[in-house]
Amino acid sequence: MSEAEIEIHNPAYAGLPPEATLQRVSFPRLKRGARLRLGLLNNKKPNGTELLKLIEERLGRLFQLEARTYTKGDGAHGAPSEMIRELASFAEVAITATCD
Amino acid sequence: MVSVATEAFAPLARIEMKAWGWEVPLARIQHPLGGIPLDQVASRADAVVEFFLAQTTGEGATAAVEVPQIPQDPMLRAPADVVAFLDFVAARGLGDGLPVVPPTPARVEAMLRSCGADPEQVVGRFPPRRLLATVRDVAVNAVLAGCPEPGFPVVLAALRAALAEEFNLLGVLATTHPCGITVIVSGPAARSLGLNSGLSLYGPGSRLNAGIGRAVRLALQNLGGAWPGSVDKSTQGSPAKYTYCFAENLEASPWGPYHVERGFDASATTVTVASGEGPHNVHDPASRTAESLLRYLCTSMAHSGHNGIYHKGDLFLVLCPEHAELLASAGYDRRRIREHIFETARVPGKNLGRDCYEHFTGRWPEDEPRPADMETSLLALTRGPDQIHVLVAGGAGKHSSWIPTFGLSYSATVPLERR
Repeated sequence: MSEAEIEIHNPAYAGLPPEATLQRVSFPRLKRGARLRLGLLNNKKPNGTELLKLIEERLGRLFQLEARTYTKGDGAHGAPSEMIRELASFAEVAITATCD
Repeated sequence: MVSVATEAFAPLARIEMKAWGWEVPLARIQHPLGGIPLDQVASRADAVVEFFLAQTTGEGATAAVEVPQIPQDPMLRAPADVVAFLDFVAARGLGDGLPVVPPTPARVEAMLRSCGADPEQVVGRFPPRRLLATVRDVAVNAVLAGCPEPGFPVVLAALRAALAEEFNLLGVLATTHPCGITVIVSGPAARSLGLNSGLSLYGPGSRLNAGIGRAVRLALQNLGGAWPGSVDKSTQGSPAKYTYCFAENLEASPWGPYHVERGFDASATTVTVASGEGPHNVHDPASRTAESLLRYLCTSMAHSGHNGIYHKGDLFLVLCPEHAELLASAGYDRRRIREHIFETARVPGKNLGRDCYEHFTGRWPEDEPRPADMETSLLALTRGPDQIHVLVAGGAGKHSSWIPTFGLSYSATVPLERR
């Protein structure tokens, strides 16, 4: 370290490890026309319902779709665990949203 | 799983998913989504479907999401020159734009010694990064913020309070709403510590108030990852985000300490956090009666534009001593004031305009009676009187203030622990 430098603690460093190791979500390989159980998680933000309906409609033209929509209480809290479990047990693919 | 995010929210989505241990395909769509015509929503739906096909059938390509590059090493080498140091901090996204103090090992050790807490004690997991932060990690940010050593226990208490489930820290840090972390100290230690509860209590002036509030903010920014712009998505930001700490003026309070109403002993000192907007001023220099003053307070608070009318949450009424005295002399205590405000300060539904009225009432809290008619409805500011918090602070003069909050967050109070 030169005289023109100082040593400091990194303010963004937290010494303990993160809770989870990173896992890549595996995605089912599908062919057009295949059966697909789709879960849609609505965060109730403006136009969120409309966006998810349009996505469902479009995917319905490409796959044999069985879709269910799950709606959170609001956009600033996570979905309840029970809702996540239900979604995970039903859906092969889930679509969630983070926007405004 | 596919996560859909507008471009503006993609870094937040990526950081949050990573914190939970998942690398999820992220479909980026053009921002915004809210408030646009349906044909534009349809084009965004097309983009999601295109992404979906790329993931599932291999048709098409996906784009990467840029997330802030924050230094990972525990120690950094930085320029000794004062101005060059500020540039160093700014370039790494570790500050807030104002001058900071280099957190050298000697300064951090002194901060830790002043507090007496175990440096390795875990304070908590601050979202969205959710790394486990220790007392030492927080002390680094307290030094950076220029927080005087006596304020460090208040910083630790405020951060612990902010982790209360009802506070919804992730929502508070990531929202587009302009809320800061309002830190309110109530009890005898506020005076012995030297916190300002009188003239100019919101600032500027008190190094202790300013340092505590700023340390809380910088700790949540740097350890939690609430970097402005990429993760802190506040549309316009707020001066309240730099620092926001004050003490109750216990000596001038006709009703005793605020924290007694929150279930603490009068002799205790507590730290409350709220997701406050900047204080909204109410200047009433003329009222001679409590009724006149309350009318002015209520009409000042009953305006549209803040989140309380549809998300509910808490609000704080911070009465100046002279206004508090007028109300107390007429027999008003905190409960009567709260009840009066809840019943009287109402926002006409028609003030919201048709689109906002339908949007908000369509997403009304499930356990709240839903207003029906826009033309005649009068919307309360909170769920009930108990979400209106009344305390006394400030000096001479007749300016009170009220603090609306994020709404999807409730304040939390913890005792101040001092060794």
